[in-house]
Amino acid sequence: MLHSASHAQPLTLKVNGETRTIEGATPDTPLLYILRNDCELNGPKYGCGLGQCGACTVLVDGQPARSCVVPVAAAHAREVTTLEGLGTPDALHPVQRAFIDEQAAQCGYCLNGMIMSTAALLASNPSPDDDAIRDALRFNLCRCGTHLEIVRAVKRAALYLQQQHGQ
Amino acid sequence: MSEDDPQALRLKEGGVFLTEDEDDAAARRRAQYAWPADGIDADAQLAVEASVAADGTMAKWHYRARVGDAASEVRGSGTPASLPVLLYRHAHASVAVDDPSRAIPAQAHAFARESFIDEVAHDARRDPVALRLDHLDATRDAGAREIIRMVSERAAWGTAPHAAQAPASPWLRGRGFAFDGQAREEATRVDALPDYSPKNASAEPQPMSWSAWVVDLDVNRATGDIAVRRVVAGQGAGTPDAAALQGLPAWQIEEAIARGTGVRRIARASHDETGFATDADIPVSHDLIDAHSERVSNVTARSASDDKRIEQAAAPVAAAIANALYDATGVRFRAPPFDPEQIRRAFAAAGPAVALEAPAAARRPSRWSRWLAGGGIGGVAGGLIGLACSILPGPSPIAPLPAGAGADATMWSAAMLERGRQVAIAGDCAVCHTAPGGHVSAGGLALETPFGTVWSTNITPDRETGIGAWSYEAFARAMRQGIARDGRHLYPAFPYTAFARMSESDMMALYAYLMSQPAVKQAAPETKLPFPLNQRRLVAGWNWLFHDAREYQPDAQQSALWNRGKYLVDGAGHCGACHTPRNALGAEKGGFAYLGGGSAEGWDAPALVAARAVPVPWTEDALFTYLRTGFSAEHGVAAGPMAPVVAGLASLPESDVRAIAHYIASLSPPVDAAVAAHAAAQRATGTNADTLTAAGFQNGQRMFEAACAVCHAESGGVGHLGVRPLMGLNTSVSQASPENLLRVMMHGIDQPATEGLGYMPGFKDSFDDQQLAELAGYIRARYAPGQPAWHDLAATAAGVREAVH
Repeated sequence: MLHSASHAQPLTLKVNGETRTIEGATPDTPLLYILRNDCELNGPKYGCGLGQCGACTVLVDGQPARSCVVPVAAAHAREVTTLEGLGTPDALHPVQRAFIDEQAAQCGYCLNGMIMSTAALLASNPSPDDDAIRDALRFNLCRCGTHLEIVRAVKRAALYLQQQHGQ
Repeated sequence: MSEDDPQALRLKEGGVFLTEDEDDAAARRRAQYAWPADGIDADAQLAVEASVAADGTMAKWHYRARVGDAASEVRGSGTPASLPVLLYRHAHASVAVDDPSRAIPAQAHAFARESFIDEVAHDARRDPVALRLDHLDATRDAGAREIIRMVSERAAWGTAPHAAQAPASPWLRGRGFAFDGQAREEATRVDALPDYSPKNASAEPQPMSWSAWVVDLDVNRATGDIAVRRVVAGQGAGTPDAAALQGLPAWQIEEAIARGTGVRRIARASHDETGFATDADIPVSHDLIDAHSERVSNVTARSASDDKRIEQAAAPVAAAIANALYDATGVRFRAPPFDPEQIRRAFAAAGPAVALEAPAAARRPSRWSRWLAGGGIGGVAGGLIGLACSILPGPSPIAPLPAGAGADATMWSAAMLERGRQVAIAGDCAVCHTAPGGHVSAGGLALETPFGTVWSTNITPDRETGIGAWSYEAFARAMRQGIARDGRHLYPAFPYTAFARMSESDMMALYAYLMSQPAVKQAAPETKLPFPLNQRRLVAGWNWLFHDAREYQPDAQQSALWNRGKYLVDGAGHCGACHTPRNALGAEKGGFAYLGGGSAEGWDAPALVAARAVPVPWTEDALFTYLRTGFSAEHGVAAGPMAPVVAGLASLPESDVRAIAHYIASLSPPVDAAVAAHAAAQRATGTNADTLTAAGFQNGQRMFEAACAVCHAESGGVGHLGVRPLMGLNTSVSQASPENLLRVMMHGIDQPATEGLGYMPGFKDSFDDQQLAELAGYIRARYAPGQPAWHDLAATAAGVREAVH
């Protein structure tokens, strides 16, 4: 994976199922910049820029990744899923629907990370209890204090997903 | 072969083949060989006669084979005997076999043919392999030529100088080549005789299986004992691709050598043979060791087809051994067996030429006495020696290759180039010889040494700025002795001290690979060290003190895997260049310091031998995983200068990485996997954070929770892209010096060794030196509770911030 930062070769990414070619970006450009500026996907937010707050979380091959500290080169030949790729306004993902139904936002800046992390959590643990939810979202910062609503939204999302699978 | 003369081969009655014979003015050479006949108490008599030009070319070739006294044989009975295949092409060839009872085995013909051409080559002062190629057609014998080329390349034929023997030793060293071909169906019969007539000249060649052997042996001129040391043997149809050359299984080689010499030795993959761990890969090069050194291979039951295979394999062996004996002693053996008694008799008959003592060469003093002579104290005398070296005439330049005659890829087989590519990766050539963002191998990387900055040079085949004008001789001298083509001494920042261990065939493969790469015209910045280090001739004194230019010698007491590992570690891999501490003059220390921990580009290179500070002892499996992937859950991530090393290892055959891990693990007391796992479980979580109540620790803890925990905490979160190195198990946390940890904290890991590792951001712009000091101090106290606290962390952090890397 050693790459040279000085050559701006076109990069090919697969974002939300769509293959995109990015010109003129060096391989060490943060993935977040490419997603927001080049792909015009503004679901992932720029928060701390240090991988600490989680607002920029996307899924890379299903793994949560803090896109502000992951270089775009890391996404080469991998599947990137952003909030936009989780569901559409017409066909919301169960996690998105649960967060709306619980009104689990005040400013909403952290919600991208909360929702993407919840999607990853429920993929590995379909029915987490409160402790498991708190532990899983420990590293996603929310400054407004909607933590209780967020925990409720995660539990509702788990329910929605179980119902979906039960059908 | 006699394509010019359709009448050359004429069938007579009774299985006797005769040809026309012509006399001419060229020098004629005749030799008579013998071979035990099958089922009869008599020898097959094999006579070869040829006209030999000054360059060894044999235009006419006559071969007569008969059993015992021909007159006593009854002719015309039974089926015709099998006719030996004419491998080489001569303007006129005749073959006559008088063998009605079919008692002459196929090996006999191969022995006579391959011995004779060797004799002719020595008389004409020609390379025996080159002379064979002169008698093979570039197009129609392309398969045969390719097999010869691949085997001789693999053995570094023609380049290997004989390893120096102690002058008093009765052992002489020799090397022999032999070649054979067999129709891939049944042995050639009269009805399957190849049609050599001109009308058939362009016809599809008969499907053949070729085999070529290079035998290295030692022979004792006093006792007549033979010890075959190495066998390079390959077979195949010779189509020009890498897969076309196959090795021979060890048991076939053992059996063939046992039949040829009467001594059974164990064959195993040579230490410079790559990828032999899987059964599918049979090595081409075998080391042979004493049967009592290792468990004797227990091949008990052999089928008839096994015997057939051994016979086929053994066909060229006898000639290869005889040719090697001649190379060693100048005595020609024209009949097997090559047992001590016969050899002694032959030596006695040859007279004093063999028994003569070799000229008394100056005995090389031991490393210790050289060091004493050089004055270990302050190196004063060493300096004087260096001064003497700088006054005495230095090494001479080696003439550049003539323009347009440079080496290129077409000179070597694909297998050779692939082999060279792997050697280059194992040696990390491009890591030091590539500037950041620059052309691969075009040089220009600054290497910071305690003596000043040394710039790496251009090793692409550009004639002016690279090594395009370097002959192999010049290249090998640079790699083994640290002397550039123009005679200049290279600084030992270039690890020729390690590369000298490489085998000749690896060296040649590396040369082939480098010369086949694209040439880049780019002059590297000139290395300018301060006086007196700018006097490059001083390096001659340094070499005299510290440099041992001997090739790696396998240890027969150790396994093939161990030898492979040590060969890679001490040779191309030059692990000691970073992981062995250096003395005041910049030479790697020996003895107990070997791989005892050194430094590289400002990083601490941890000890590879029984490191006491690590939280969990290294197991062979942990080493393997670390070297292969760049991460061991029980030890951490390969960072800094180790990252490109792992990136290279990840693309080498797995067995090579396994061999390195096996050898490194063998240097420390054995570690039980369960013990290691238990230690890891205990140490992973560190000490309880609540006990760390000092103010600095509280700041550090807050920073750790905010900045680090998402990827490095033992629990919590939803996972992330890449690995999860735990601080309680991380080598950089328990090391004596905080430098490695601070470097990673400040600069992150932006070029991970392998794809799966993930990335780490650097924190140098978000934390100041004091904050970094508090964070590192907390990590140390919490996750390396048994180690003393680091001092002056803020100052160290400031130093790391200043450093270039």
